[in-house]
Amino acid sequence: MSMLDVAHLTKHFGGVRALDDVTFSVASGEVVGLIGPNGAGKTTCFNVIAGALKPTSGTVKFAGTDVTGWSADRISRLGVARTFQNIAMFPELTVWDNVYAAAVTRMKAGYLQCVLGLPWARAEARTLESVVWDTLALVGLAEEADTVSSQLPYGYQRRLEIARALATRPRLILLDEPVAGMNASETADIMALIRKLRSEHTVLVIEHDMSLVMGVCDRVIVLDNGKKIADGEPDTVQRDERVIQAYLGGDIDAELIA
Amino acid sequence: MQTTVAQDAKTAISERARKSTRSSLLAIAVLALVIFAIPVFVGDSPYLMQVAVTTLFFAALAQSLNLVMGFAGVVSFAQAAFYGIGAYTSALIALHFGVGFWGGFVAALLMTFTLAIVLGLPTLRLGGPYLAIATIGLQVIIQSVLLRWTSLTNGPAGINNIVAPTLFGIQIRQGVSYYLMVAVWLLAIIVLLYRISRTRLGYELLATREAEGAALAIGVPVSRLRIAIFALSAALAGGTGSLYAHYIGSIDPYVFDLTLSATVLVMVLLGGRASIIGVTIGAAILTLLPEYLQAVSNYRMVLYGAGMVILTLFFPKGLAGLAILRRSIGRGTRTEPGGGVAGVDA
Repeated sequence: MSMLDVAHLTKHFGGVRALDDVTFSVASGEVVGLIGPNGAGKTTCFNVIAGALKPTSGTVKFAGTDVTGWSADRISRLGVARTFQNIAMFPELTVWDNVYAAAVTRMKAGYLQCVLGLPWARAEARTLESVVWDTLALVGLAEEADTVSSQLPYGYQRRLEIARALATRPRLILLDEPVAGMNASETADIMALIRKLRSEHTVLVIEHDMSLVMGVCDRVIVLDNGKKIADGEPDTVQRDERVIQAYLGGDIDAELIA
Repeated sequence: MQTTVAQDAKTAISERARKSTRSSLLAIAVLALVIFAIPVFVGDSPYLMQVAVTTLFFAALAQSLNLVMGFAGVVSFAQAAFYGIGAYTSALIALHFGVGFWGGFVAALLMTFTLAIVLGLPTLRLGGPYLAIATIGLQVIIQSVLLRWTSLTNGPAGINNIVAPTLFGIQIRQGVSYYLMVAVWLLAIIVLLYRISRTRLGYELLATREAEGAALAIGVPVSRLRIAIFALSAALAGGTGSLYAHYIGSIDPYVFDLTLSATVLVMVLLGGRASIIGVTIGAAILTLLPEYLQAVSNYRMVLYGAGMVILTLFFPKGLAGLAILRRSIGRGTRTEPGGGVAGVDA
C-alpha cells in the first residue's frame, strides 16, 4: 500500500523553482531517504507535504487521500508528523510538557469535556501520560523529562523533536536532518531509533549524513535544483552519474558521496 | 541500568507532579479564603469596601487578559474596550428591555464574545507586535464609538441610574453583598483558568504561544483556537464590565480607555504570564499601590510604562518567576512556573 504519493509537485518562490515537477511514492513501512545538495528543495518538499506551504501545482496524497492544499494541522491529524531542520520546540515548556502537548492533540475527549473533568476525559488523559513516558524512554529522554527544553543539549533537542512527532501517533513521519550536528555515537543512536520506528511507521528522512542514509534507508530519492534526478536503492543511487555530478558540480563536500 | 534510571526519574517526576497539583489547589483554596475573609477585616468602612471591590474588578479583568495573553500569547491592548462594551451592553439592555441585571449580564457575555470573533477574524492573523498594534487600534476605535454614538450611548455624559442586581428577590447594593458577588465571579474565572491550564486546551494554547509552526505540526488548529480564546477572554472582560456597570450605577466612555488596557497588561506582566495566582497578586498590588501612595498615583502611568519595559526585559516571568514564590504560585503544570524565558531568573 502506498503511504505517500507526490505527483508533479511544483513550488515557485517568485522566479525561483524550488520544486520542479517532482513525482515519487513512499510505500507503507518503507524508510526512504531524501537527499541532495543544499538548496535542492528537500525542506521545501517537506513543507509542501506537511501543509506548511501550498504547492504551485501538483498533488500530495496521503494513504490515498488527496491532501493538496490542506492546512498543516489538518494533515497532522490525518497521521503525518514532522520534525524541523531548525529545531522548533516549545522552549519554555519542559521536555515532558513538550511531548504531552503533542499527545493531547489526539484525544477523543474535546476541550470542554477535559475542562469539566468528565470521568472518561480524565481516564484518557491518564493513559496519555504513559504514552508520553514510553515515547520519552524510546528516544532516551526519560531522565530529562523535567528539564526545560531550551536548556537541553543540542543533540537531545533533536531527540525531543522526534519524541514530539511520535507522540501524535503518526503513520508517516518526516525527519528533517535528524542527525545534523551530531557526533558518530549520537548518530548511531538515532539510526538505531529509526530502525525501531520502522516496525510501526513509514519514514521519509532528509539527511546529509551518508552513513545514516546508507545504513537505514531502503530507498533514496535525490533532488537537485528542485528536480528529482535519481530514485532507487542506496547502492545504485550512490553510483549514479547524475548524482555524483550534482554533488561534485555544487559546492557541497564531494566526500559525502564517496 | 538505563531502564532503572528512567524508572526512578519517572517515579520522582510523577511524585513532583502530584505535589505540584496539590500545592496549586492549595494555593487557590488559600486565595479563595483570603478573598472571602477580606470583608471581615474591612468592617463597615465604605471607602475600604470600595477599594476591595475595585481590586476584585481589576483582578477579574487581569485574569481575562491572562487567558489570551498568558496562555495563547496574544498581547492585547483591547481588554478595557471589551470591559466597556460589556458595561454598556448590560446597562442598555437592562434599561431598555427591563430584563434587570441578569439579562444585561448574559447580553454582555454574548455581545463581547460575538464582537471579539468578528474583530478577531481579520486581526488575529497578524503575529507578534503587529497584532499588539492592531489591538491598540481596536481599543481606540471602540472607545471612540462609545463616545460618539450619542443616540445609543448618550456620548460623554454616559448612562446613569443603572439598576442594581437582584438575587433571590434581594437587591444587591454596594457593600459586602456586592463584594461577594464579584468575588464569586472572580473565583469562577480562576477555577476556569486553572482547569484550562491543567488540561488539553491549556497545553495546546501554550504550544501556540511557544512556536506556532510546531503547534500546527502537532495538529493544533492554531487560528481557530486563537479566535475562540480571544472571544472567551473578551466575554470574561465583558461579564466583568457588566458587574462593574451595575455596581457603580453610572458609566461614561472615559473609563474604558487605553490607559486602563495598559494598566491591566502591566498587572499580567507583573504577576507572570499564565500564572493564575501571580496575576491575582499583581492586580492587587497595582490597584492598592496608587490608592495608598499619592505620590505614586500622580506618576502612575510613568511607573507603569517603566514597569512594562523592566518586566519584559528582566523579569519576563513576573512575580511567578521569583524563586521564593515559585513553588506555591506556579502556573500549575509540570512546566517552569509562570512561563517566561527559562533560566533568566534562575
